[in-house]
Amino acid sequence: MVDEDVTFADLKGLLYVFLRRLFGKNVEIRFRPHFFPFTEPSVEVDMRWGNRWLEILGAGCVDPNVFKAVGYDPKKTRGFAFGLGVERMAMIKYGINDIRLFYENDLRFLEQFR
Amino acid sequence: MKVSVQWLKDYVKTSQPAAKIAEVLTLGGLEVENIEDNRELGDWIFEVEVTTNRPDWLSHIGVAREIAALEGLSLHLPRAKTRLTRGKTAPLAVSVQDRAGCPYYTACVIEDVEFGASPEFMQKRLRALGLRPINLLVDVTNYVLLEYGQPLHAFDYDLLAGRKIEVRRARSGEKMTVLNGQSLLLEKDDLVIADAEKAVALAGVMGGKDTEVSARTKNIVLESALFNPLQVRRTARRLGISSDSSYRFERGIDAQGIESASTRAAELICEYARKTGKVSTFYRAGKKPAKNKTILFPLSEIKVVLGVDLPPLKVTRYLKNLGLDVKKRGKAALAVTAPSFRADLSRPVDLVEEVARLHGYDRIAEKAPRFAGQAWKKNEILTLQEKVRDSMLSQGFNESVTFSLIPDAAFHALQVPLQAMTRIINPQNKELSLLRPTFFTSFLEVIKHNIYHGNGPELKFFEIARLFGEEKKGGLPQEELSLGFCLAGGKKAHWHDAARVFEAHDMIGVLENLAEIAGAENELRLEPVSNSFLEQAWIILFNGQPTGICGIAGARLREFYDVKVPVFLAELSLQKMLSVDKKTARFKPLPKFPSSPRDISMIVDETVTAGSLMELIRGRRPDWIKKVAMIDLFRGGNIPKGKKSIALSIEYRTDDHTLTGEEVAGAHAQVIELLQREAGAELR
Repeated sequence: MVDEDVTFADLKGLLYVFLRRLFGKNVEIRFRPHFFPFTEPSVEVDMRWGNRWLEILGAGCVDPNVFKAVGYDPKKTRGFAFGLGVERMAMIKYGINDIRLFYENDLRFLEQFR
Repeated sequence: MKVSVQWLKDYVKTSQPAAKIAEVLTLGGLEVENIEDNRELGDWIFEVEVTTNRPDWLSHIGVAREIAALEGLSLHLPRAKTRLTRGKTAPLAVSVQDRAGCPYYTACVIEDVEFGASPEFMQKRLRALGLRPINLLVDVTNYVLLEYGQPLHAFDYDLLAGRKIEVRRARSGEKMTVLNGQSLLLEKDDLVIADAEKAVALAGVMGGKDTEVSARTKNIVLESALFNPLQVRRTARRLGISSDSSYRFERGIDAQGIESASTRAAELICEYARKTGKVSTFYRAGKKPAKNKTILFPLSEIKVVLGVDLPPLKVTRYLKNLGLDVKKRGKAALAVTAPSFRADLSRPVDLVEEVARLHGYDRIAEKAPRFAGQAWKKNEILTLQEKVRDSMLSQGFNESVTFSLIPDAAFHALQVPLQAMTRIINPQNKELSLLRPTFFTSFLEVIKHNIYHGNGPELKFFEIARLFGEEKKGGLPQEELSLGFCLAGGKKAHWHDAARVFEAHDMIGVLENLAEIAGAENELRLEPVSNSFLEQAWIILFNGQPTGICGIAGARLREFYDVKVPVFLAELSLQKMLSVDKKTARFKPLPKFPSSPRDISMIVDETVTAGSLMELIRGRRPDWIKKVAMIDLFRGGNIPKGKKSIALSIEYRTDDHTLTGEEVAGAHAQVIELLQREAGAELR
């Protein structure tokens, strides 16, 4: 998301709303500093999975160098970005235990998700 | 990287249990991936994920510094029991010929060293981190590498020809055997440490066997230097060698810490050797890189980037805890200088990240997403895609997802030419490098998999994905968002209906539904065409526009995938479906006069389609023939092989009068004659 005044707080807010819609109101999530070359600050988001934390996505505020490289004035343009694995999310949400099932196209799998 | 908790506690006095320290580090940005409880050594070993922007974490002092910053504690750097005194020793000539490869080089000589094994505490720590203790000298260099993150190397002084050390490029064809026994053939691009005669070490990577310290060593040269990261990486990659040393040079070491690490090593050697003689002053060559610049940090950046306000005093405290030099610059800004081990900090936004993580990301209040009111424009192709998906699902198909990159094998086997197809030059998997122009081979693969697992007998799949056209010179191939579907096997027996295999009509029924979605109902036509994968193929026309292709999978295609049941395949371009000229409905007055139905039952060749017959019939008397429908189709019994029996029902009606019996009979006779003549039909 890119605009004139987008902040880290906006990123957190959007991710909270998104993850609550996806996994239910009671999902427990935490934000953890990390590093990506194109975001600053960078963050990884974990969700509570049993008795441990499971990493589900990476995100961050767009690094000013990225804006410069594509011809935007980093002083006037701000933004954030996040990325997640769709199969991983589906596996968490539906309790699917093998990522290969998404590409084998076995009817016994596909029929469960009409 | 592995870290010993007990060792960390030398530098930071934290009273937290290991698990809590791990949590503090993880939430601060240094993820502790694994905690090992090493009972034998009475220690906890952390496996930490060091990100590429923080090479300063590749040392125990670096990690301890982080704990100190996060917990607001002090960092205690190692202090020797006795200060080192340096004096004049046997000489050593040190020079650097390649300043780009080695900006700064230091060495010092330690004379008359009598040494044995390293002390117990050192051996224990090295073993805890997976290193094998060898002797005091080697162990100290490894210990200081793990402690400071500065790679060091010890040479046997007396084995250095000409008492000389030169940092230079290798000569093409120069040979050297390194410490791990590997014999290397060097090239001009490799950077080496050399004595007067030969290369004695691969700079920043590994020492040579000829000059290594051994039980016989009396005098040593201790090297501590800065090597160019790209240079070290190139050489290490080319020769296939990596070491704890090359790993750190590649990522960047602390240039200002080169000499303190060397001094620390010398102090440890002097403390734990049986005897040591004089320690020389530093021999230096090159120039230490400049210190970091001061960053002007406007405090307003915090609100702009993070979206929250933080008190300036807190901000200052966080930055100081990290070891940064912080001074006020007017009312609203700070002048911040990062220490040499933080090369990643050069802009205000970098400092904002530091402040945020020390404050705690979870303590930054989130803001609800804001959206400005916008007029949304309907995405036509997405809307069509959803309609098509819903329709296919309602027709009992399941959506498959297969790869866009496909193997060559089927194309080779069926002798389908590949040259024009677009191929990826550097595929991740060499077997999958063709950008697919068709769904057909992917569907056969899916059908094969399902049959193998005993699924079926009804196998109906559809997929919506891009198909790729031919490679264009100097350009990218055409991509067409397409729908593919397949039917294989047949309908299960039902208490109501008998089991039966799928027919082409099942596929055509689907096409009729799709035609309706495209706005081309009553305007679906199929024109025969030849296709390498299909034994009978037709171009699908919606309203006269070619939109796709469909047909019966050929025997060789099915054989290749070991599929024995009948398979029907179709693929259409969604983009072309969008561009079908949808005619606005125009009211037709309700018929005033009744219609007269007549049936025809005939035997035709297998290859004659009902569709072509119906078109033929409609064309004969378009003004009187209002509807033609197929009412029966069968093979076998007393029908000869290669032929089938089709029954059609024709509705005759005209808009201006009721047709008489004679008129209908006449028209019908003409139709029969036409069918016999043009389609070779035999009436039953």
